Amino acid sequence: MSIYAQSKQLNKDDSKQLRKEAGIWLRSLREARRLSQRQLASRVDVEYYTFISQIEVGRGRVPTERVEIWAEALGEEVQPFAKRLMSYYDPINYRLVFPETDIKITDQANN
Amino acid sequence: MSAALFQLKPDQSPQKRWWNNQELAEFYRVSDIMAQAGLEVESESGVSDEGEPWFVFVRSDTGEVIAHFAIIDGAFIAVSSVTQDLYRGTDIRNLIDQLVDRHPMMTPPSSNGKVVLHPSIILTAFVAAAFVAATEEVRANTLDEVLEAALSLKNSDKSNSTKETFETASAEETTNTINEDSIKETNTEIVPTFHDFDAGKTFGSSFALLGAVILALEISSRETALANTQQVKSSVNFQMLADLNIAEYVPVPDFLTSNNPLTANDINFNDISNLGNDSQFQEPILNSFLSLKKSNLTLTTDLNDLYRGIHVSKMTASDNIVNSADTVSHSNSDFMKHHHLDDQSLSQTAIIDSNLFFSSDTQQANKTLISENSEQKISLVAIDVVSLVSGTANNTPQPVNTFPHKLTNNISINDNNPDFYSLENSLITSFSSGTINRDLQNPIDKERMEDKSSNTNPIEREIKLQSDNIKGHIISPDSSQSLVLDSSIDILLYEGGDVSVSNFELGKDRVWFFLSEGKMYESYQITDANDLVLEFETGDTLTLLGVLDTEAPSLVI
Repeated sequence: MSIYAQSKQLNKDDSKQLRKEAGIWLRSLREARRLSQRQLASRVDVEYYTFISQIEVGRGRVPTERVEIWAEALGEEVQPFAKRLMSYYDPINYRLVFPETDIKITDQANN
Repeated sequence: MSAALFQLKPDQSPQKRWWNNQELAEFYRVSDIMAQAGLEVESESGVSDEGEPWFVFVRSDTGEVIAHFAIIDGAFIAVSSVTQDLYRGTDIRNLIDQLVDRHPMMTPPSSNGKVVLHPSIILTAFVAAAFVAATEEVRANTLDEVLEAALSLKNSDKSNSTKETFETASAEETTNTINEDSIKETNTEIVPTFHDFDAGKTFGSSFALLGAVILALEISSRETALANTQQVKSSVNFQMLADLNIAEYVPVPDFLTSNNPLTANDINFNDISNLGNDSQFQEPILNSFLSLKKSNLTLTTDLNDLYRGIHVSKMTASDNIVNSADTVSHSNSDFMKHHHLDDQSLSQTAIIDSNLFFSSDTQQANKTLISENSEQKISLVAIDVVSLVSGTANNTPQPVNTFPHKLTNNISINDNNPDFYSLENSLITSFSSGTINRDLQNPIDKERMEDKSSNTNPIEREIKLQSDNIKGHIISPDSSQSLVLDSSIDILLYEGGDVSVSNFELGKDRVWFFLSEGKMYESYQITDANDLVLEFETGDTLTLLGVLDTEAPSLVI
């Protein structure tokens, strides 16, 4: 089942909340790197930098195929970055793939 | 993509600003229009760290962002979030122009050669396409690719015919198109590639986006009708109307017969007005007719009574009413050449209301395929025939869209007239209406829905898109003889055969005809059971069971 189909199975509010938390986390990473949204957009090769703002408020998601370049742009290791993004964007599969990971996703953004 | 696009001399950047009220109104209007079409979207706006605004449309069902608008460095930006197609203009109007230039099918043609567009219409077309594109099946396809696949002809020489317009078509789609030659020889020359079920992605994407575009065309048609009617009212050929012996053509209202032809003297242009509101896109009608319409409709719930004695119709267009078509060309490509036939060319019945009430209810896009030995012209046509039946759907006084007197079909065009393409080869007809009541809280509706799973005899092939919003049904001579629709937006692609369709919901579900010459629509009948039976030259019938049933809660329009 696709991530999109699964996402439909999630409670809509939960999914929205997770994306917001992902956005908060991504924003914290960007700000830690002292990058503006425009600069990050340039690094991840996005023409319209307002997309960064959109992602950071929890609307939409980092495209799967762009996760690696996002990690590099934010100076993060790719696998941990992708793993954590997965926990936000695809929590069902995340728990299947990483059953040993007992994290409360909603707390991640505050870590 | 280049990130340098927006790094334009920051010191000279225009002053940051928030969306103005007009822009926000456009956005919210898009949402309203989408909702009316059954495409529920949410919206959200925000501001960048530089203080520049953005606005996104989000699919309500998936939460997926489908379209992103922003003002960046003073430029107005629109992005299809799925395809990442980006448009940039100096203002919203300029952006609209770019959308139209790149996708002329979004342009509602005008019968008088003047295209009157409200920006929200094109924006809606853009967002609607993005909405439907946001499914897995169509992901990563561009609108051009999808349209190319949808409109490709079998046995066509694509290198000759479509190179100019569809340079982005993928090799995969081309292969799929060619490989389906043997599927149905009878329509080999003229039928688009909707038979290609092995190419699921291609079909799904074609179907979805073509549907979205036509949906947008329908919407824009209504909107444009308002403006155009106001503009072209002085150009209506009333003598032509008066010369018509319209009693030969049905259905016609009782007060408008051959013994009482409409003349120019009957028309008071001051009476032409928009009786609806903008959000419902109700067409202007003559105030002077309003009382007559009301009396007819409120006193009559039986369509047979309304059309006493004229239950069967056969419509053909005579040469003298084939109006010189206005051609709006937005590009040099064959396909993108817009060719809007004035409604007068559709049917004599339609003339009366088309010019006076619905000045632009037909949208057409043509494509010329040139091979070594032949030249083929096909057309995609979206025709609004809602007024045929909508009048019986609601007993409450509803002045607009309640006048069941129009059925346009079987378009016959003078082939000797070089200004016209033949429409007989390919015809898409859309049943549609304005306001849609899709509330399934009604227990009867719920019961209907529950019954469907048990008694549905699945049609031969059914395409269900990820969105659950739009479901396509291919109806062919080989299909099952019955089909029960559900709450989705069902689109019937009719190629022939005797088929009865239950739960067809006016205003929501649609029928598109893919018919070849000799198989065209011929006539219709309305049965005592309020079934609409469409008859074709082959003797096949497509029956929409109970579609005119005034008691059916699903038919509240």
